[in-house]
Amino acid sequence: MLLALDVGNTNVTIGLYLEDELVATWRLASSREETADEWGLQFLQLLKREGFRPQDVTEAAMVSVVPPLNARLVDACRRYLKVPLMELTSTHRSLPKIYYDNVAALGTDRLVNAVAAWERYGRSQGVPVIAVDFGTATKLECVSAAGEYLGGCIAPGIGISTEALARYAARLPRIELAPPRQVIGKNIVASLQAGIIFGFAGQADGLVTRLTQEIAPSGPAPMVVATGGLAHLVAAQSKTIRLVDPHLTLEGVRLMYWKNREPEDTWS
Amino acid sequence: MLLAVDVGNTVISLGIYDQKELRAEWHVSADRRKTSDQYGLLFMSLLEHQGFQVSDVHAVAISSSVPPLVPTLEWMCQKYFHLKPLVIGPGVRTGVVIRYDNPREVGPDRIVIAAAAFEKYGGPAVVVDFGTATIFDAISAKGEYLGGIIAPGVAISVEALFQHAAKLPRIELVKPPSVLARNTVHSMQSGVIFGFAGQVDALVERLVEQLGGPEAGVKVVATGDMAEVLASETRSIQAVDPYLSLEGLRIIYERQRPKGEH
Repeated sequence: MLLALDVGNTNVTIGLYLEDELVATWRLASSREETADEWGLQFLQLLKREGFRPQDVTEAAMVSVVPPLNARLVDACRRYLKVPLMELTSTHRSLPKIYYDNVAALGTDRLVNAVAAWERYGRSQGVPVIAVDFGTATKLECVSAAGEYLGGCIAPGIGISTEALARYAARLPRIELAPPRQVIGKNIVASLQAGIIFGFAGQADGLVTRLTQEIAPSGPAPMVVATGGLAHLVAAQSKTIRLVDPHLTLEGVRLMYWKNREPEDTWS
Repeated sequence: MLLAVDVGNTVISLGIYDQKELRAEWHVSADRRKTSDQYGLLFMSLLEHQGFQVSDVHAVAISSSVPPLVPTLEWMCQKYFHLKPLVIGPGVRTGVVIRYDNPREVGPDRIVIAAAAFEKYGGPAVVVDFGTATIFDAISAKGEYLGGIIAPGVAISVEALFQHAAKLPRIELVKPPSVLARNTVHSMQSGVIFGFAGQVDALVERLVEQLGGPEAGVKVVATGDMAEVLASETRSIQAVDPYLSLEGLRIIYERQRPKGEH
């Protein structure tokens, strides 16, 4: 089985794949302090709790935006699971064509989302796709129907922006991220809930609408797919997001790993 | 002359008014640790630098989003300007009717903005105030403060992104060449400029709907640090007014005096 790791700035999301079926997922904090031994033990414990043995893991791949964690995770996989952990980079095989100033500088987390969105929602349907990932940053990726990576954008994420507001603004409380009951807030909590839920939906819609005008001014409308922890909450208020795929990034890790584990000539 | 002091969470804006005319304005950091003496010296130096004297200031009006700075500034006024400032808060005759669950919960800065927006632009109106938070205020046709929406501000969100994302750089907040970006800096500029413009449009449109829809002739005015940069990227903002808070302090100050008195 494949252990797929999505190492983000806030969480490490882990998926266990039996072929193309996601059979278990876990989420750990992206702690910069934990050692390879601590990561390795956590992997063993998580696998055991779900009834898997360490030797069930035969392959491992990761996408990471936190370079200091990479070596420890590689070490943990090697010593505790006895498998090499492949770190996917933007120079690995991914999409048929990438339009970016410097491909090596394109975040691999963005590229795997683009791969998954196109393979799952664009390729067979023959439509362009826009992936929206609500994580530490909100990241949007555009892929043409033919699988060309066209570019995208990055905005501050919901969680960190909201946390920053609570830290900087003396009178504002920390709130639960829940849909507001009114648009004109009559108390501070309702005002904040409207600002965050409606506001971030508006942010995504504004970006998707403008990107659509650039990538598909005419022709089939792009399929817009969202992922990330708060995607459900925002998508419900968005005018442009068509569906939520909570495991889009892990799917991207699996798909991109599959493209790179075989020799070049068998890749399609 | 009136010294208007608007204390925000990160910046204090100061303006000096000769009757209705704003003669000069300044911005200093809202530092909670600074003492009355430090603020006194700072304010005096700014005034003198611009050719004013302490004795020119016959009144001070303060609105504060940072409660701990109120006593500091009150002391400063007593000691350096020899007067008792007007501090906007419950009990002050602002002329703005507040329709809120608990009117005491409304920040004085909101009331000051509502007073200025209604006086200058009429109602119904929506004010978009870009600061530490981006605050959207809804004002009725009669000038009542109806409540609003609070979203994380542009600058603090961008700073948070830089701090939390190991691989992302600090960026300058300017418009990129296109929405579809092909390098990291442009990707972030696009996400920030067009993302916040989209946020503003979506929230303003929802508020306009509540205020009677497109037929109601709702005025939409922006103020605050990012207003100039973002307004042109939105379709909803009709005017940018950088001095709305200072104007509101002047207007409320004038409302304290019985008619005919100068």
